[in-house]
Amino acid sequence: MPTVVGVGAATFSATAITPAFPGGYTAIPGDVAITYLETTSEIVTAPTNWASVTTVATSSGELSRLSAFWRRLTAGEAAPTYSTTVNHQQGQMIVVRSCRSAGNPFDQAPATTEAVVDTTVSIPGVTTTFPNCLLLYAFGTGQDIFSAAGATGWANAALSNVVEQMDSWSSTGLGGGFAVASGGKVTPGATGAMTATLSLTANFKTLMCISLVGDSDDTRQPLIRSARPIESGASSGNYAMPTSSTILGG
Amino acid sequence: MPLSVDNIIQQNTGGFEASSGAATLAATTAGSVVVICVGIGIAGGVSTRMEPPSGFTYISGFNGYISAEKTGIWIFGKRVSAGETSWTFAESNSLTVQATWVAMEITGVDANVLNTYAVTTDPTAALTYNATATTINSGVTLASPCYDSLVFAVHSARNTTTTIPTWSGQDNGFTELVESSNVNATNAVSIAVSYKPSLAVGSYTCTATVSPTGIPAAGMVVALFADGARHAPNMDVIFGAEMGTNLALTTGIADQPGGTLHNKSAPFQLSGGTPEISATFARTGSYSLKLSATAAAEWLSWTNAGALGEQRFYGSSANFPLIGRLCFYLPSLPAGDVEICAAWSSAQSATFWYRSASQKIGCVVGDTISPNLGTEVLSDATVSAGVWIGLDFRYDPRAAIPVCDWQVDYDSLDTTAAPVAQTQAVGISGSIFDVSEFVVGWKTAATATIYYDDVALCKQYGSYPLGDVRIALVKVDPAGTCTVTGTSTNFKTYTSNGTTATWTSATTLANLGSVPPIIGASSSGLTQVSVAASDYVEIPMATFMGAPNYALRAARWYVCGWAASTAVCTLAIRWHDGLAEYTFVNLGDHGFDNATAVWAVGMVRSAVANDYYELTQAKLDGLKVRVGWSDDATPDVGIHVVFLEVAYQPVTVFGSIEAEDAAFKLYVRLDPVSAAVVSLQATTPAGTRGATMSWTVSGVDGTQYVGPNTTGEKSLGASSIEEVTSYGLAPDAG
Repeated sequence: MPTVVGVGAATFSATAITPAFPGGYTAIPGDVAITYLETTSEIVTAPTNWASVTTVATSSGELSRLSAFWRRLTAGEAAPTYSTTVNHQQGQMIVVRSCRSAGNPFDQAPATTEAVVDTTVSIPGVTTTFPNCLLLYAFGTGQDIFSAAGATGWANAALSNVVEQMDSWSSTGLGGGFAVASGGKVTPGATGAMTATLSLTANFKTLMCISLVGDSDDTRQPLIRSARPIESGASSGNYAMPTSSTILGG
Repeated sequence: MPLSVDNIIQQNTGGFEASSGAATLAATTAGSVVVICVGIGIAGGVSTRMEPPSGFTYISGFNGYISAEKTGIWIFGKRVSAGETSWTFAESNSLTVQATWVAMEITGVDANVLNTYAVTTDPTAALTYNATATTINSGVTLASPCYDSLVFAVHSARNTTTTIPTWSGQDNGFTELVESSNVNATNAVSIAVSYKPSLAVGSYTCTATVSPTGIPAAGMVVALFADGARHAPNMDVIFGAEMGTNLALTTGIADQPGGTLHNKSAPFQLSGGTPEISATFARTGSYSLKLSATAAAEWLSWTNAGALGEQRFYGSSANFPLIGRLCFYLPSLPAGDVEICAAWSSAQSATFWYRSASQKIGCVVGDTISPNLGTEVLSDATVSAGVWIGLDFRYDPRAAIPVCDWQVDYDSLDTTAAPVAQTQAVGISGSIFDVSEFVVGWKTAATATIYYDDVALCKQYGSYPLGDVRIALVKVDPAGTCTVTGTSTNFKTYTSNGTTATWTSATTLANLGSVPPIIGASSSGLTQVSVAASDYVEIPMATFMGAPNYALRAARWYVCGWAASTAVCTLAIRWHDGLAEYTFVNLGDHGFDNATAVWAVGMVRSAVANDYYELTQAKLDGLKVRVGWSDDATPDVGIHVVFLEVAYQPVTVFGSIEAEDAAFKLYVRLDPVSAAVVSLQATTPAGTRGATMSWTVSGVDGTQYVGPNTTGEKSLGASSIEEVTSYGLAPDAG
């Protein structure tokens, strides 16, 4: 199952921002970085070599757009800069390890909006088809406020190890922010909704779920391995002559 | 941010038993609105009224006395300054009352219209009394046009024991905020304040349960509007020239005795010169209004005595703002200056000019008679010939210095070009006047040719700008079926201006569907031939589909009457929207004959002032006109045409979701006024992966799969934000 390496600091500005890697982290090949960005309604272009996972915006009330970008990192690369010409942006990066190593690290990323002014958060999930997926649930609002406690009470009984990873709102420009929680889904199936309480003012919300597929569970890369003699536990039996594939898979 | 309970930044409760007392809060913030809800108990048979504190007004609108009942409610409000903490209010005759109160400080509320969407001044409309209540209803407000409100329901009760009445079960989406009570040695009085944020137009009502039962109780409901909230326009006039004829542009039936609020009159009230309905250029539909003159005046107008004089929102019967939208076309730029249009308010007006020297539009507010004009403001850019130019304005003559906000859409059919807000035009200080007339064209002699189309006017301040209004013609439904209530032989169809035939549905539809209408030798229509004061013919109208690309705004009836001769005869006309019947033309002699066209024109809307009529798709689909009820059908009397003009607006397209570098997209098409979701559109890339659109409408979830390399569309047709509580896009797993 993919695991969270760390989360960088939240950053916000009326101009360009560079959401940083987690403290003390240097980019390791194969790790996947995902940056969440909140803007008023502007669609932000992915930085060079990065790609958009998804972006979703409320269409009424306090406008707010939540976007997610990803990058399969190379050794020592730097965190990218996101430019904006409109009002403000807030961003934060999470680094995840052991995602599948080819193609998109995620297989599903639905996005929705909730056009109800309340403090109840319910982020729709997915039905995973791979075992050992890491789910990232995120929501955002456009409230103009500084807060590191915008979300409380994350819960999803279908997931293991539900942990809040990000929670930051700012009052730069028209303001806005988002919160992200992760959880693990071992067995393929419905992940259900992630619920939480918006601790700030009741508001419309942007919602997204990203289902990250693990490297060892990606059936596009079958793991070829046969038991080594030392593992067989039996002192007799047929001995399989090593081949190049068994050596590589061993 | 929409109003919510979080806008109530503080609240307090208390009570007193005296002739006066004070409601208190911690020091207020400047600009907030303080709302005080008071419930009282008093010995029966004594007239009692609570007066608002100094500087406060009756939000509830009820400033009458409670008599013979034993509990009452008053709600006061005021925009406060910083640091206010206490407000004293008293019984009007210094009677001792057992009072309990709730005070709230609320941010983001429009204090200019506090006493509007509340109970009316008639307390029985929304303040109800019940001497032996179990449940008590608040009454029902008129339909509010505001898209962002915080609604309060207040219930009170008095017990002749010391058991404090308690409240529960507030319905219709109301949540109890607080209860307050006052107990003395023998009696107890309590009130409950409940709230409901609302992003929809419409009426409000709340029923609560009181315990113990069987005690005097009362209820009241008020809606506070958000500052700067958008309001649905309750159009007074729409005009698209789709009548297709110059016939009787200013000839209509007389105002009805006793008056109802439909303005049953001509397409216009007044005219000058020779206005013409033209098929040469049309912005939408088939026709436009052509005004063309050489060194002469040429104009048409609506007046306060006619179309502009009916419904008024928010307060007094005079002194309203005028919000308008019209489009005009210059086939060539005039060589000299010419008035485009003007809103007149006695000695003051807002006039829009084409200025030849600059080739710009000028807006000037002031007294054109003296003259004593404010500084004219010219548009930021020149206008071009050969394009439909859109003009939005809001003329507000209610203050001592009238002002006019305006914006120009230099090519109103180019959806990529947004309207440009212009500098506000300011008038000169003077008396406050009512808007008396809106003029299309020029009363000052000029040489010009201008075409006009898609005109809309209303009086709600918060509806500006109206934006891109378009108008379509809707005739009778040729595939529909007319019905007769009563005896069919009391009605006939006629051709050749009077040759009657046995009534049939098909012939009725064929005769009434002739637009442009014809009066004279070849006129055909429907007529009542025998007295039958309860009988009528119902004629279904065709419809106009809003979703997925348009939002409906308003509709206007056009009916042309006919009679076999000029002798007195009577007829009534009503309409039905599938939910309720509305009187359009009262029974009476309307001056119909077989040689002169006489119009009955009126908006599809409520007959009650301050009562917003929302034209939904269902209502438009269900529109029918009813003709008959004659108690004097000698001569034969009827109509020879009926049709609607329907105003609609293009949706605003919003790109809400883009996934995987915009390979998958979800567009939301929004009503430009209410921001309600009219439809969804999803696109998917070439390949093997599609996506699933999802939505929740009125609590019901729905999905639609969109295959790879496909565009999928789903019409939702919502009329308010609240109807669609979510929408989303989930690309196939990859």
